[in-house]
Amino acid sequence: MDKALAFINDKRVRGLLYQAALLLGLVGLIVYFVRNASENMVKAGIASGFDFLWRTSGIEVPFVLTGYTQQDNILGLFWAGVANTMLVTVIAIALATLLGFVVGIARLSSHWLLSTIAGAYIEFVRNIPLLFFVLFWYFGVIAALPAPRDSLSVFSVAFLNNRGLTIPLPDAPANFRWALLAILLAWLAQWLVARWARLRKERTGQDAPVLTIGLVLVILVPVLAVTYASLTTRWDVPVLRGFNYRGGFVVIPEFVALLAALVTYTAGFIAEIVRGGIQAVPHGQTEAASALGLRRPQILRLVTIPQAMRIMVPPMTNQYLNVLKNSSFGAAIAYPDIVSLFMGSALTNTGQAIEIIAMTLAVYLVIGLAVSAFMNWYNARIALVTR
Amino acid sequence: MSATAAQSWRTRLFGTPATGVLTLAIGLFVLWIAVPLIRWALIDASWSGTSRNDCTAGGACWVFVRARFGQFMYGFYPPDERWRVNLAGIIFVLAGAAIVFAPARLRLKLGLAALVVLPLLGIWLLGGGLSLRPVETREWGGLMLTVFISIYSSLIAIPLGIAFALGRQSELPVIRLVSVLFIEFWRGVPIIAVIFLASLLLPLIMPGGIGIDRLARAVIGLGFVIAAYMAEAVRGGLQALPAGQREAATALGLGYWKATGFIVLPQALRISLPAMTNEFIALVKNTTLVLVVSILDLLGIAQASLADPSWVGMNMEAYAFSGTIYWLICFALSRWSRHIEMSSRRR
Amino acid sequence: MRYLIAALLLAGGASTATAQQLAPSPTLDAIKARGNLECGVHLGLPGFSFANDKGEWSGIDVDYCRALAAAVLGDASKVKYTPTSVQQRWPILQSGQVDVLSRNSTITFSRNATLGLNFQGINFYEGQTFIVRKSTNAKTAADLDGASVCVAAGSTEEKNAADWFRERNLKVTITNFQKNDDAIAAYDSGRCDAYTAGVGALAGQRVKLKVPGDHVILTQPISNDPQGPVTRWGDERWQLIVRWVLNGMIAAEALGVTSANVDEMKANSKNSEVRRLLGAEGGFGAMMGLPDDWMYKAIKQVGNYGESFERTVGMGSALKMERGQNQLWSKGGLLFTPPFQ
Repeated sequence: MDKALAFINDKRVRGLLYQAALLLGLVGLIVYFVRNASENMVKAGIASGFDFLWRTSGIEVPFVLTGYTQQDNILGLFWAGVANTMLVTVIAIALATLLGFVVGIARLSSHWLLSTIAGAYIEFVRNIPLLFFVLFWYFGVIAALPAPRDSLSVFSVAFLNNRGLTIPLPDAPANFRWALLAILLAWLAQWLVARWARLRKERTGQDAPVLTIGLVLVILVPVLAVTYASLTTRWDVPVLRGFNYRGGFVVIPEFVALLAALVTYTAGFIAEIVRGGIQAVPHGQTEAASALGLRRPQILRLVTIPQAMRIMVPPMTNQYLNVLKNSSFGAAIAYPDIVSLFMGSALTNTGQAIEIIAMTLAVYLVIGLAVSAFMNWYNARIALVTR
Repeated sequence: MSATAAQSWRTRLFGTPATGVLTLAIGLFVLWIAVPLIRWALIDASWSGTSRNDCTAGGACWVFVRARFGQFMYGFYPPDERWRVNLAGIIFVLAGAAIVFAPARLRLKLGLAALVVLPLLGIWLLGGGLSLRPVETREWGGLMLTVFISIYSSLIAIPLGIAFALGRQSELPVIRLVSVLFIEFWRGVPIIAVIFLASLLLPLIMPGGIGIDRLARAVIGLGFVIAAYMAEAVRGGLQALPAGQREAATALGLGYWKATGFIVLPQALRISLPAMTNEFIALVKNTTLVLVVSILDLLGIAQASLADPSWVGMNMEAYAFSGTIYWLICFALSRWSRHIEMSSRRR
Repeated sequence: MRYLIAALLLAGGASTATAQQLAPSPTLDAIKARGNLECGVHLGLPGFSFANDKGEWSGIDVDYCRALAAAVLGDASKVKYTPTSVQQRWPILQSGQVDVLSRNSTITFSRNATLGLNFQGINFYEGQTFIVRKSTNAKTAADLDGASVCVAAGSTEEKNAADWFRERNLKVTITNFQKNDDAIAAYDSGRCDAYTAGVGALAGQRVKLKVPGDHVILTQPISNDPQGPVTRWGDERWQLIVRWVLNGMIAAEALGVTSANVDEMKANSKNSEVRRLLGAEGGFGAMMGLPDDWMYKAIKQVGNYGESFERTVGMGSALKMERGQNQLWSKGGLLFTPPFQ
């Protein structure tokens, strides 16, 4: 080869060239797309910019946590959607983990019928599109619930019908703030006690009565606090008038259906992760534990699951992120999440596709990053500590 | 059943009182679900007839599925041309079988040849042109569309995925960064939003006058998302491969591309095949989302058929039928994935 | 090029009008090159645009597309339909995937001003109302205080309903679905007390309910929702064609031209507006770059507005709607057309 060009064979030079070419190509492509887009939009007379966020939205949302009303601006609608997406995601993750663990452990049960049923459940759930679950639960839930006049009443304060679960809402929330504070303090205290007990056990080998203290702090204190708060507050109790119950807060069936779909679907995947994680713990561990005289539930809780967790956390993180992304299926059944409210109603009303889609994607990326960061922190915490 | 077998089943199910109670409880639960289901789907079902009025038995009205069967399979594809879809399907299956059962040394060549020829052949057969009557994509639908989107999206996703998996392992920082950004972006956003994005944004960023087919947009959007997941699957394979493999190849004087193409990738892909199959299953399930842009895949056409005034109230039948098809496809694929995983572990 | 076209038109004797310079129309050129009209329609609304199980489209909005194709290409069957959801309709039109949107869409200020769209007239005066179960005994919208209402997200009805009840201090719960059919399915399964849409749309959607007879459409509308064909901004000549084909269909009814008598009218009518409409004199088609028999073809193949109405939503259809506001101005309705002069 010509000597003048020989430097091309240098690995570093070639590396630089590759990277420069990639960068140039990418930048060029992006510039090209952006120019086309702005040209097309000007030609088509489509408005652009973020001014639309401050326009009155006029869209009524049936399930609001943020205090949004129809009179607020579109930015308010955006936050209402974000809050709804986060609400269903967080609750679905918690419940799916619970159900997933139950099914995964049942799958490994020595009881033949139980493990077969768990296996059938897993195989059934994993091989059907989530959209079927969403539709099934939605129309199933509505069909199973009675019309408002025949509502199922819970102590005559909460009412369940096919318009949702109507629960009373406190008129003055001040006492509940105190109750919440008391609960948080109790939980903090419980955490400190548990920590102290653990340290003491490591030092002296003695067990502290953690369970009794824990029960008092984690259950009794909250129950007392909430009871006190509820008794001292006036309640906006729903009453049947005309078409439906008035007053209170309504948990809409769309929420319940989406939650049920996400939980039952994701549990199938979590169960497989749990099974794989537990099976990956060497059998010698279980044998050693039972040789030490631990009973089976104890072995599971103290020996197997803590070790399995290390294997389970990375795939679990993926499942949790999937729950977040899959919450967008709510759009199919009118659950007012970010996709349904913002990419649906707001987009059609304003027509500003680029801005709205970019904001929606950003929401998912930001929440996703937060979940990943939390799980990474947790993973580092439970990782094998070599002393 | 021999006496010993019966004995062993009895201990298994009713060995201790606790086991017995559990068995009874689960058994009752299963019966509680299964009996009404079987009654509805089989015993009380109506199978023959032409209209809703023929469904008098009180159970499932499979008459509806029979009347709509052509649409569930082919959408609005012209009936006279449906042989082309069947032919394309048969060719794909035969080619797949030929590759799987071919002797190992021919497999790669056959596979590459099929990869080039089959997609073009498929588009020609389905879309028409060159002496075949053109059939526009808006007339496609049903199961054929589900299969089409799955296959063609993965044709985009697999090469892209491999490229980005390699890029993520690259020593060059810019390439690594671009790959990580690509993968994490597409993995981080919901597919529903991506399909929207593709259908709204692709026409906007193209120079004026160039239209991209509606179906192609959905396929491209899905392809990009799945590419990111495929990249992670391939990365698993790359990481599982001992570093010595590449080092040995480099020591033998192979450059990056040769070492990658002949030594690293073939082994890494074999390791990641089960994971890639699982991503493909996820893709098949996610094709249902194209209905948000009014492309009628199997689920979409099932939903659309519910709006027909002469077949009102067939929701259960439509969903049960289409759901079963999805389940069969995904279940078969997952079994196959487990099979190759097991056989490679045994090796 | 323009001179060439004008010269050709002159040479072909296609026009007796003075040769004028036609503004360029990329949309029209594209349609002619392609050989068919791309028309955006509703996903499935009986009476307006609905595809049967063979994929054949019918309805009043579809009829307009067919008339437009007949005027432009001489053949009403040369239409390709793109079904669109509430959300998709604007992007699909804006990005040029369809030449015209004839989709039961209400004309509003902000759509006109910010979406880059022009509304080319009114082919259906719609009024928003509600369908409710007979058992609720609701007679007017005001009786719906406290009710749950299902609606399609992104429609004018979504905002209208919210505004209407708020202004009257009535409380309703509005649940917004992504597609009309989803909202109807939810209403039918008992999720809502009412489903809201235009009177005509409700008449069409009603047949999708399990027991249509159990439901009643409230007669008193809460808003006016004029609907008509929509085009993108730009390409004025195409907008002109879209507008005047619609006007032509209405004018034909006013002038008594039907698909049955159109040949006879073209040959024998003494009325010069009829003669200009049908291309017997005036050379109106050529002024837009169309053949002079553009409206003749449209009426011959599709019929006038009244025929189309009766066949798709009127007494000759399953919807059995009265003409009401959609009657000619001369017969007490609101339909009006500028003269063909």
